[in-house]
Amino acid sequence: MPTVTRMSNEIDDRLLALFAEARQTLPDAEFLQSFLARMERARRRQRLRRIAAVVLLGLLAAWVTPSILATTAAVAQAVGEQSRSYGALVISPAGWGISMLIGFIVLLRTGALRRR
Amino acid sequence: MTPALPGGALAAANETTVVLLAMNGDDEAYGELVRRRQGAIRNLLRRLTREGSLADDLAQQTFVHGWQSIRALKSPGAFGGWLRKLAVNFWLQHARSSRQEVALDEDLRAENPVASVSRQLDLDAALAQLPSDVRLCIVLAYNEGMSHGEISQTASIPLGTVKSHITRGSARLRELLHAYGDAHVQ
Repeated sequence: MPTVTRMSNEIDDRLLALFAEARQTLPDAEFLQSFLARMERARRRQRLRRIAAVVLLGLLAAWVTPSILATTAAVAQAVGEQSRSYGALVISPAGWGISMLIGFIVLLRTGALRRR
Repeated sequence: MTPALPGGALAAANETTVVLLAMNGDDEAYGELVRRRQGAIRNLLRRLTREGSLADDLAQQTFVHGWQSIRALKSPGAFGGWLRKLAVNFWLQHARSSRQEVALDEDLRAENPVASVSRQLDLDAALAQLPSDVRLCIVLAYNEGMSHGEISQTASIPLGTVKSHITRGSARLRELLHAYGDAHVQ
């Protein structure tokens, strides 16, 4: 049991003595037993919460995955179709011209064409 | 990672070691901490609640919460203060949830401050006459030996308020105990 020895502020000594007298040595066996039972319940609750979270995540995944897969497939298909038309554009004379123009702008901005 | 201690060594180990073990998930070490600290926490809560069973219930909630969140402790040396703060928070939570009941008690006392007090007045009964914030400051100062600054931090009450609560609370406590002929305060 800790004893009170440190009082950095002004305090009434008579009241201090009264509080010291009132401090009891309490029987601990029943308290500790009851605490251990409570801790075990808390541990069980924690475990159940974890299991529930995993089950919930599993259900969520099962529910959401088909729509995610369908959306991904649609996006991939759209990108594939787009890239086919971009591919045709890139190998056309206009595509070459635009590519060269972009390259020229990049060189200009990096200063590679500047005289030293 | 702190290695576990062999059986029986826990009781002899210093508190820092035991706290470190508990912070690493050693439940036996935490049990040892509960064994060492239960008296102080239960006494503190008894002064605050005046009811042994309620105090023990709040003490158990404190220790269970402590077990669940001990990994959040910044340093092993802070364990005692941290636990005391948890206990105070549980008591404040309880006091707030039963505020209506307290307010009713205070109204009755205001009508007849001395006559409504039981003849078997003791320190806890006198403490029960104080408003909860004042009681908290008084108990932390006299029962726990905390300075005004420490009380301000633990109870989240401004320093000036703590000082005034302790001055007014001490005077009121002396007055109540004197009214019932307590030789200690005459």
